[in-house]
Amino acid sequence: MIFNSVTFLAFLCVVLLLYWTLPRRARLWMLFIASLTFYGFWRWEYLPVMLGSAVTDYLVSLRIAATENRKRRRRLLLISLVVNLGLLFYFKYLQFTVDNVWVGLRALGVVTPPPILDIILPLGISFYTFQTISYTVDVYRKQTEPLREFVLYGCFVTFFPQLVAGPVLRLAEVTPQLDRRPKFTQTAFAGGLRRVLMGLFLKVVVADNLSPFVDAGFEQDVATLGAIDVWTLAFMFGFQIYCDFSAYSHIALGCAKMMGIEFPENFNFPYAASSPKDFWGRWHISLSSWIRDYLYLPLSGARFNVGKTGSTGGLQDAVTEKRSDTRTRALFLTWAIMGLWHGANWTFVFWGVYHAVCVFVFRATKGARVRLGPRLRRWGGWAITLPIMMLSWIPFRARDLGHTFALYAKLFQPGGYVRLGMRENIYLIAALMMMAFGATYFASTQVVPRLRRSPALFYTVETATMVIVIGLAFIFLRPIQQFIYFQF
Amino acid sequence: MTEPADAGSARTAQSAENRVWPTVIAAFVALLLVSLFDEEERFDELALGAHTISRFATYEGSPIHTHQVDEIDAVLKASNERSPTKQVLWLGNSMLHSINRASDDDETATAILFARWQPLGTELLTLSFPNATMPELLTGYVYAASRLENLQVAMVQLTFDDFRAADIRAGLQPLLQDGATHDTLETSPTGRELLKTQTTVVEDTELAGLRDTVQERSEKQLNEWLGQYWPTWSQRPTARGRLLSELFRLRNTVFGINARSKRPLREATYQQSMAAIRALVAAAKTNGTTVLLYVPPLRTDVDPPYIAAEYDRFQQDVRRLATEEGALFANFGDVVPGPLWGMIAAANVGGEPDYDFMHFQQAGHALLADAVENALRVQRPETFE
Repeated sequence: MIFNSVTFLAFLCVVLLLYWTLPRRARLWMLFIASLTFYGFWRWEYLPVMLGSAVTDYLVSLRIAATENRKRRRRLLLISLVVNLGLLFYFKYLQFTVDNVWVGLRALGVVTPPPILDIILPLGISFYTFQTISYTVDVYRKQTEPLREFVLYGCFVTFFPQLVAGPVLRLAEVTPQLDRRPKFTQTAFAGGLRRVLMGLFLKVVVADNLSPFVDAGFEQDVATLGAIDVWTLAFMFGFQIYCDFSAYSHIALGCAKMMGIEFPENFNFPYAASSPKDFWGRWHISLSSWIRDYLYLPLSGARFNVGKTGSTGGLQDAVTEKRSDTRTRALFLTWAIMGLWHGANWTFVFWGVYHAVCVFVFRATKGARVRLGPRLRRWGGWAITLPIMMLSWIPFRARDLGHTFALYAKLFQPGGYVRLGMRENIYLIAALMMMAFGATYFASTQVVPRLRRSPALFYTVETATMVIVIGLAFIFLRPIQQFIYFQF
Repeated sequence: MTEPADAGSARTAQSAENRVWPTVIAAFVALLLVSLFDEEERFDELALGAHTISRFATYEGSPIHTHQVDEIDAVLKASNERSPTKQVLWLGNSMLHSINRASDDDETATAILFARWQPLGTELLTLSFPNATMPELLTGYVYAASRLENLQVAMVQLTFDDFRAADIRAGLQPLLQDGATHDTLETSPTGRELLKTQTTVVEDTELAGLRDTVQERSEKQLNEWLGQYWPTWSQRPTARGRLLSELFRLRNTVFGINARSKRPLREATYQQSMAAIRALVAAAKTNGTTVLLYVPPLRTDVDPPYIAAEYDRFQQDVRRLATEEGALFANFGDVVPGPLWGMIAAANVGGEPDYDFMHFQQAGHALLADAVENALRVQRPETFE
């Protein structure tokens, strides 16, 4: 089910009413069935795939916890990984693999075209498989006890606000709140409602209206574009994907909050980051922390410190790692995998490696940076980080590597800085979006705290803002576009 | 121990933020404001202003001129049923269906020429879409040509202004799904590019994100139900259109853009547009249809909104294209003198009506009709034999 729709809003009202009125067991079963219904409104025939993954990890985790035999525990963990990664490989990467094998075969003289497997990617598979893998790994690492009550486990895996596009949750973050429903407070309900409305605004008013401009720009013949056009497209898609994805997160967190459940934040003004490391502590925080804990740290050979992990974001060190070359190898491999997780295309791998290079250079220049003053580190870092991060969106959106390199090549053509190749409105909108982002950041960090000192003014500004948000979201509410991260 | 002086205020503000009522009040006010958009508007005609009307000719109750996709088949079918000896298809933009300063019995050039040619056994049919891009004219031609039984001539209006875009509007994309149209477009690189832009057409583009899902059905039903019982819900498209058109006017006001502002050529879409016209002429050749490419009338009593060198290049390019592709060419740039044009709605906030460079009065339509007929009589006299 798509969030930006009347069906979802009606669904949410019904679920909230039942959630706050049913006793525990009925409430959990209602949530579980509602979440399956939510998923089934996309394509019901893919429910068995999701349930298959969930049931496998439920049973495997119980078995792992029931034995102290290391070899047996490891074998059971392997079953979970094979099932989940196998599903992911089949639905997401099989066609990609076949296409690449055919590239090799073509070099050997094979002329027949590669088979088209016509496999539909199940919605949310990249998210729910990661979530169930993390659950099983945590049980294996003895960080958590397995859930014995199936319906509670089922709610954890399929909880509809975060099922399709995250945030990727850890067991300890949400299950206690599902198990024992928090007391209803107007604070939580009001806060959740505002977040849902803000999320709808960002999606249907901002992201969906940026999309036609971005699509037209990326579809345009590269020969007709100049350097300023490429920069504009990078920024425009950066704005679009941020508004689209953060909208989803706002709605997800808002829905949960209306049930009294707190999710960890998934975004924190990523375009205000002062370094690549800072950026990944602010963007898709739940995924970057998952990657850190389940991929980067094991690959770097680091000892896993239970107390220093969780969804705090970023590829931070949990403990002192071993050799720097091991760290570097782990860095690049992790990022390549993270890129591939986003999509079965070499452009995403390139995107991942691009970010690995950024982080590597950032680490390598630590000595030079510490000599700079804090203001320069903050604002100079921002001035360098923002364009670099925005340029990373080019391979994320481009058709293929050839398209990516052709666009990047434009940046090095001086003549491209004196002409414009796209419709005039796109440059205007890009400039307005940049100003809007700046204004929002300033308002959130400087204005709102001051407003809180004057209740009357705060009421007025809050209400006026919500008039605009609600009015525009109401006018533009249409499911004309899915969320971008649905394709992952 | 006393609290700091502003602690109470901070607590009050904090508690205000935690209350539902500001959101509820805001929702009420927002919906009230939206409900004020209760008038239906034809946004494609909004820019024409009060001075100009659209007129689509009919013959014996059947349309012979349309701009709506769902009426095209009726136009073509009715003509085939009348079994004319020859059919002429006219493709263009709103210049063909708009009359500035119109009175009740004014006629468009289509109506004038239809009345003149029909007794000769030649029927004129017109498809004109506001701001029609060249790919749209290509699509319209291919679709119509596959259905007309005696098509002999296609007259294509090439308006320089319309070379600034090269997309196909959502309303015309269903034509790309037609089998014969699809097959013809597949035969050219331009046509194949066009087809790539639309892989599946949804009945309702508003539900495009729900294509092929169970939710598509529930969403449609809920929308219909809400539209039936809640007038404010059905006013949303009007509110959207009004908001976007006011934003457009605001942009023009801020940047001082008006009808006379010079619009520079955009090379990318210019080349795509020329390619679309080449593909149209090529498709017509395979059908044995003669194409007349013409440069439409341009208002010359006021400095036009084009850069002179670029407009000269455009005219030369069209002539060259016609020669290379074996099409007929005519330049009607000077056909309609200045006083026979009119005014258009202001394009900025609080502005006065501005010079209309696209739509002329009834007398202009009569002059255009004469010019078109003369061009055909000279270059393809068999049209009337």
